[in-house]
Amino acid sequence: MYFAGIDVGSTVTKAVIIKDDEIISVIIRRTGAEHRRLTNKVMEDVLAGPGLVLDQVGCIIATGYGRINVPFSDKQITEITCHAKGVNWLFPSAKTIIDIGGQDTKGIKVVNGKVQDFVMNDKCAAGTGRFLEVIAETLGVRLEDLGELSLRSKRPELVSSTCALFADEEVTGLLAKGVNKHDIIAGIHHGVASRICSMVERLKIEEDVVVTGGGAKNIGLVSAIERHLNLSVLNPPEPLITGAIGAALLARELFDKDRIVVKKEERRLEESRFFD
Amino acid sequence: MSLQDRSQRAQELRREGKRIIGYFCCYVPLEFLTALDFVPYRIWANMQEPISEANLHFIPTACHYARSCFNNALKGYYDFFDGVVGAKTCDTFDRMFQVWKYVLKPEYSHVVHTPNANHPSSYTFFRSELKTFKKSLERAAGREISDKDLREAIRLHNNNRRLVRQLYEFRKESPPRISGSELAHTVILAMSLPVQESTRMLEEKMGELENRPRPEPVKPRILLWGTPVDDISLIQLIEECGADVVMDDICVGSRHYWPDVAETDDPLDGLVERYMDKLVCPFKFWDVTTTHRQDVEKRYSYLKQYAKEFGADGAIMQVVTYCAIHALDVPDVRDYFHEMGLPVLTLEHDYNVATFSSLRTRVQAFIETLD
Repeated sequence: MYFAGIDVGSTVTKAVIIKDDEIISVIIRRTGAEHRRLTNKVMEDVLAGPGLVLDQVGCIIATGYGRINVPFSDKQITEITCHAKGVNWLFPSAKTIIDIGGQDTKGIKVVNGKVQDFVMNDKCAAGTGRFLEVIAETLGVRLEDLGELSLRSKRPELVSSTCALFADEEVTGLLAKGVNKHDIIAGIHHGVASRICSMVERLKIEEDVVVTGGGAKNIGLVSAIERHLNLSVLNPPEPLITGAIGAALLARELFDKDRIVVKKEERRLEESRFFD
Repeated sequence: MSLQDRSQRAQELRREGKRIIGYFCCYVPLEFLTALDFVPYRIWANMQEPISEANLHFIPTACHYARSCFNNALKGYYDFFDGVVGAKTCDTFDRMFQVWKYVLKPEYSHVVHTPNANHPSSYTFFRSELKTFKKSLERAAGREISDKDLREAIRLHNNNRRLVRQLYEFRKESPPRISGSELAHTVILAMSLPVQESTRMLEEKMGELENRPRPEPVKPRILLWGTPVDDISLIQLIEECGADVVMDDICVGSRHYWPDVAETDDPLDGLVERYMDKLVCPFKFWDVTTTHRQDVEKRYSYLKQYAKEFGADGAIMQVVTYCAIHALDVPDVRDYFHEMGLPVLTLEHDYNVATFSSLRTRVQAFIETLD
């Protein structure tokens, strides 16, 4: 039997299909403004890889910020519960998760794959992927290059603003003063890491710590977090899909325990009417 | 229930010649208003409309709830008031009443000062404050309050409070026959009517509930703590995420209705006792003990009783942005809930439904942990 998890994030949509405790198909695509109504396309593609049709999937769970806009899902579960599940499957020793997404950052405390406590920042862009996106644009570098570039810094520059817009102004000022990009980026990572860690520290961090989400792909940010916490963090092979993996695992769990009645005839693999 | 809907009866009564007095908060002794045949009407904020005009009169860090209340007044929603009465329990509301007085120039206004400590001098002071309030109201009414009138008003309000507490009894059931949002709706209506009519409405509700079948299924049971919630949207959001809100520690709820006024020989004795010793709100300190631990126990032991009697599985602590009084108590109360073994979710919000989408994920994730 196949099970699917689809994680509609603010920036990236991820879909995963599992069979017998093994991941058999993964799709990662930018959510964008139009893509939100095209979660069905992501689902079609993730099914097409291993040559499946929708009815072969025992249960589908939608998660993430856009979870309510997945008309073919059998249940919606928050990304907090799903990340805990997915990370626990990848790293059974994990007790703390730091998920750095495009729109928000979360800290999750896990016990036996279950959420014990969580914190979440989503009031402003400070400490999120969006913050790094804004800075990358100002510096004229690609988001995915920030990590490597910051490692070349010899003297990280202090960037004190936590607000994305003020920090952007500060960066423009530093550029005008002739500070090199590497030092600015290293300073930015230090600032973002400090913001994230002070939030997650409210949970009383316990090892192992796993970093997930788009932020985990930035080696400069991850090492800044390690320096702040004074420990080594674990990094999943693909940090974007832990939520979708967790959703697929929860789909299997709900199906096996017969706690969910899947009404396949009610699944609609069509554009969700988000904007109507 | 929109603001227009809840004020319909008060507006009608005003056209019939009654005088309507807007009040905030639970610490305003409504018994005096009722004794003089004024209709007390709770001043509501507005979760459905963003704050606009009121921003001109408050700094950005002033509590959103107080600002929203005054915003309603500036928009003319409270034009049917003949006066306003406040209790000096927090600074923002105290200032709001000052601004209200200057800007909107109500026919009558008064603020009852309520001590936040319980030193012997506090009681002397508060008794004298009650006398001042009584005199001020008597001047506005053009007649005096007799002890007989005051006793009768105390009985009317005690009876009204007893009915609301009886309504809460239905929440102890699992699953409860009255949902959190239906109860909040009823309480909001009860606070918008003269006490006699409010009592009749509650009696009807009781009759209807007694014959209502038990709902299905059993869901996690939430105790809601915090700043005033006078719109059912926030409670509905919690319900939509799969839980029952079975008890509250908020002032549009148990804080307002739990304690009665003892029927003492001098009615003032019972009133001083209720408003000084029995009402609960984080603004109040009972610093008679010597350790922080004892103070916490003294101030919050009732929460232990609520959690037990109403079978709470978890607590949601919600605080409107910039309510320092509640926010500063969050660490103590959260630890207190944790000691009882209750998981806790803390939410800060802007008192505006438009900003609730970020709360939904938090609430849903919290309820998933209770399953």
